[in-house]
Amino acid sequence: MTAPDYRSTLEYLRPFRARVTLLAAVLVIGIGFELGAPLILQRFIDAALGTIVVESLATLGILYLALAIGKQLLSALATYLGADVGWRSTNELRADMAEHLIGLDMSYHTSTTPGELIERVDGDVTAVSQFIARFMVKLLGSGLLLVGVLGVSWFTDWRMGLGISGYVAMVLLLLVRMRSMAVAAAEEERETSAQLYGFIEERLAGIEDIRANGGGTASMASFVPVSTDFFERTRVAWRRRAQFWVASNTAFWSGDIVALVLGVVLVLADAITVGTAFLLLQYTQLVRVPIEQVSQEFQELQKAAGGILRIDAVRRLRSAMRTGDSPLPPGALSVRFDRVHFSYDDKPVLSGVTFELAAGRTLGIVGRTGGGKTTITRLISRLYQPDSGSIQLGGTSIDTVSEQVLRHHVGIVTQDVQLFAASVRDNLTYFDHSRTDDEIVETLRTAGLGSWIDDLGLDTEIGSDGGGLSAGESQLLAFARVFLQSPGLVLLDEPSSRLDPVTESLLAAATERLFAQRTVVIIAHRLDTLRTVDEIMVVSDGAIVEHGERNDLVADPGSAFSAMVAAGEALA
Amino acid sequence: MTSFQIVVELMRYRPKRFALSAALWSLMHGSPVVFGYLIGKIFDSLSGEATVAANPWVPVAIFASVALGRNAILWLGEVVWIDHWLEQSLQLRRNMLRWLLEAPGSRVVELSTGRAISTFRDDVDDVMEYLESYVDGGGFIIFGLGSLGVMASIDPGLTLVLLVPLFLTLVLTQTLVPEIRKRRREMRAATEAVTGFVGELFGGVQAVKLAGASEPVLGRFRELNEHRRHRALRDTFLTEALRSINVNMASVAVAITLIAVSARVGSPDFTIGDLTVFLTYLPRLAGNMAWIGNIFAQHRRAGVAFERMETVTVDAPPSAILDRTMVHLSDRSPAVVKPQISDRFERLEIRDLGYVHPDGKSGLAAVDLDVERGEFIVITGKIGSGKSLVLRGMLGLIPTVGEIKWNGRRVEDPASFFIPPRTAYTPQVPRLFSDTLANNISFGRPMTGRELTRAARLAVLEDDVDRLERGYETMVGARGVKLSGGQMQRSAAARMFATGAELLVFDDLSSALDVETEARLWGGIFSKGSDVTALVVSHRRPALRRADRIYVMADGSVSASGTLDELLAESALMAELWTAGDADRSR
Repeated sequence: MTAPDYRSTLEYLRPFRARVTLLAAVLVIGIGFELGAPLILQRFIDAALGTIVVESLATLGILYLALAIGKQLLSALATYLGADVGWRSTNELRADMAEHLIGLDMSYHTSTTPGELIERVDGDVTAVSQFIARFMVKLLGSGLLLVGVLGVSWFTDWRMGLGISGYVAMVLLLLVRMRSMAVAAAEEERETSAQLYGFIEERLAGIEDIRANGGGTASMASFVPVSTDFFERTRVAWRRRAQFWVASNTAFWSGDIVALVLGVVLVLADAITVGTAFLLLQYTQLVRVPIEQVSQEFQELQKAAGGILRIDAVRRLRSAMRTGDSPLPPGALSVRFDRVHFSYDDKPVLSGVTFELAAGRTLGIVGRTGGGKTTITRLISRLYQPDSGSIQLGGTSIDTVSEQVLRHHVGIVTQDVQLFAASVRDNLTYFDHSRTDDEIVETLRTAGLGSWIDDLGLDTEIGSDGGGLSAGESQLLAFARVFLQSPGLVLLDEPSSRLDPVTESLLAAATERLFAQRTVVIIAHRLDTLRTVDEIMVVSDGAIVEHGERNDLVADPGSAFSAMVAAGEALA
Repeated sequence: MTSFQIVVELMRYRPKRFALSAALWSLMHGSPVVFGYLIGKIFDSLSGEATVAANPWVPVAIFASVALGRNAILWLGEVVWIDHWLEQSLQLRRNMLRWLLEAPGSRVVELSTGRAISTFRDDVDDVMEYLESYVDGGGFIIFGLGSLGVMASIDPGLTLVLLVPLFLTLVLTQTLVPEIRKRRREMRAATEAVTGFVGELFGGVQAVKLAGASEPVLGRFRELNEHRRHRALRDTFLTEALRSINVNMASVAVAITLIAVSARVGSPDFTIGDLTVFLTYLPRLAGNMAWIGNIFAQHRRAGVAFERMETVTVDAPPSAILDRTMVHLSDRSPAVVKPQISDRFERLEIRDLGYVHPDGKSGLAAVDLDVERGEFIVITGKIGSGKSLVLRGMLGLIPTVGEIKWNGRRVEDPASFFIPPRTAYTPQVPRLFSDTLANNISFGRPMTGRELTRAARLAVLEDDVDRLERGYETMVGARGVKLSGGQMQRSAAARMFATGAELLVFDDLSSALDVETEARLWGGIFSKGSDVTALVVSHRRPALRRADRIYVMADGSVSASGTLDELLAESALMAELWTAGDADRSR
């Protein structure tokens, strides 16, 4: 394991230098106050006993109040400032991470689950945020306080200093070692409760299946082993945590006992004053919280170090895409493949694909699943880089075009429509707030989707799983997105699942309008759709079997396409 | 039910163990009352002000034995209470789940699973935390009264004055805690919005890239992050404010003591020992008061949590949620007995069936429908016309008005009547459970291998099973995610066939099936010698062609019924559905 690069992470603190300085000042002053309050009690007792002489005991009382309240306010302020700096700086880091990840090519994304990326962009970064916020406030603060207590103790009496130092060292060691036990217990607990609630959630989601099929009794019977497992394993986890509490509690109270014994011995030997004996007891109790925090933050520090390592690793990834800054011509784009080879995971997917599609034409691609149809559209849309060969759009090689420009000119509708938990408007525009409502509605009206959007409403909130939208409506939404984008080339992966009749006809009308004035490549699953295209391409095993005018292929009884039509074969 | 009544009911589950917990924790929280007293004795002895024999070692020894003995009690208290908490929280969760899955009667369970789960998890925990405060409470009261008593015996006037800041702690905690919880929830929601968005963003990163939308999408991400920062800081602020108030009230109390006694401290009237008694008690007393303030907040919260538990379980009476049947703990499921029903299905009559949605909109009105043994009945219509509601109403999954007769006899509680082996049902979006395929099909009922393969064959699932890595023993993943959409539907159909029910009810089974599979499915069901009756919702031609009778639904009522030919001739709606509805015309 290489050492985590704390420096590049701490770079994110640079814009907040003023706040960090303030935070440090607040911390140091607060600790001074915290150390001071027990010292006043010490003086108060000694003065009351006549051991020392002070001007007024009541003044000491007021001073105590000022120090105690001041220390608490400063500690609250420090916590608040630390949290603020932590969130601000890591929000920057989060956004940078997300941007970097979006920029990576699809071969990275297909090998990584969204869950892992949530961990990278939020989980790890939050650990870092905790590191900044809490490391500063808790670890540094607690550490300083411990040092302060030890310093004052040694200064007051060497035996008192020795006693407290030994106590702090022993308890700290004990807690750091035991803490990992408590952490393991917390993880175990999270896992068992995930299982229990997973069981309940599935039963609730399937409530009608269960009731109407008489599965209630059986479900409750299988709840028995699930809840037993939850009971047994959570019990072990909680007991382990309780052991930790008992151990730390024993250690802390032993500290009090030692402080009392030491105090009594030293006072009886006339080595310290009664006030100092009380100070010893107070300081022993004062270090409880920082000891706990230091041992806890020690764990957090390890977590943050892991997070920083993983963040660094992600930042070092580079996209495999070649890019440039050539423009693309406006309007419909021609498409040209020249001996394009592509393999995925070392398996050849396309081998030497060559074809041309003139601007404004529509091409239907048919063939069995896995033959390479989808790959052709993915290469055009630059989700992957071909191994060799060239692809040109409007006469320009796409290797010389920036992703931004390409996206502007190429629109795509896939079967899986990605929805965000947001309003219909935001889902249509991908959160681009420069689009006015009028503009959106106007565009959709010309597309024949006016009544649909009127019924649906731009402000309607939809869930990320498409909550509130049927499969057909999601498809319509995907079409509407492309209309708003108005690209010169449209790539369409036709929905293969069945939609209800009304949506189906709306979709058909929208498709027809989308085809006008544009170059269209469509992966077809249904023979109907193919009635309206100009050209047909049959793809099989990564190669073009046949490519020609649709009418010619239909008329030629020897063509692969007419054989498919005759067989009425399912196309997908 | 009031929070107090709920807690009394809960205490009656294994009352002896509960009482033992309460006793142990009273000892744990109450025993520190001796510490202040002993510290006073020690310091009196040290400062030479003790009136009696001034040996400091006696109180030191007692202090040490109590301080260490408490840890043994802490361990025992934990062990007993952990068992009790876990078992009783399972009792509540079991009761709620059992009501939803097994209680007779029809109810609309209109809950998003996310919300329901948070009630099963968090609201039950809230109620349990309130119960826990009764376990802890005794000890806090013992400490509170004891320490105030010791202080009052030293200086009653001063003690009375000190009650003011202590009481303030109580009041402020009680007021602020609900607000802190609210802010913490908002913070959690803001966090979920961020993680949810990251999930959506990278789940659909292809779409985002393709749309060239990274800039605006990242803008949205920044907004959500910023929102979370605000929420987090609001939470931190109030939490810290409350902590400060509590700590400061203790400091104020200490300062009042110092100032009040400054003139006479060190005299027999108020010894140094007396001073240390006050200094030792005051911080813990302030914490104690904050804890009592928290209980008041918990009291209210438990009431709200229990209301939510009642909402989630729709019509469950409190007695069902609090049912005291012992929690069954065993690593094996108890055996499930297959119900036996003697009368053969002949005829189902539905008359005047009506249903009103919870929001007041009309769902079904005056629906009449008949099914005879051996018939294939199809219900069709546009989206939202009430097709599925007819099925769910008949099965008792939603509360309806009207009359349902089985073999001429009126069915009083359709929910508990329409179950296998009378009827079996596959909903539009069937749900599978993370278990083996076999268990998903058998629903945990004992089944032979032959019964299993027969069900799979009827559902056209056999080939898929052969291709699965471990056949019927394959784990299908959470909610069946490891299967394709069509496989999930056919597994649910197999589950239906496995029940051997006489009347099969299914909602749009074919929507994820291709033409060939659908044909095999119908062919299997209606093969020679089969004695199956089916009531299905569909708009697909193969089903409509096969139907003995079709009911065309419009706006919650039957607009027409008859054979396909009759309807095509008479019903404009049917003609429209027939032409618009079919994408298979070119095949």
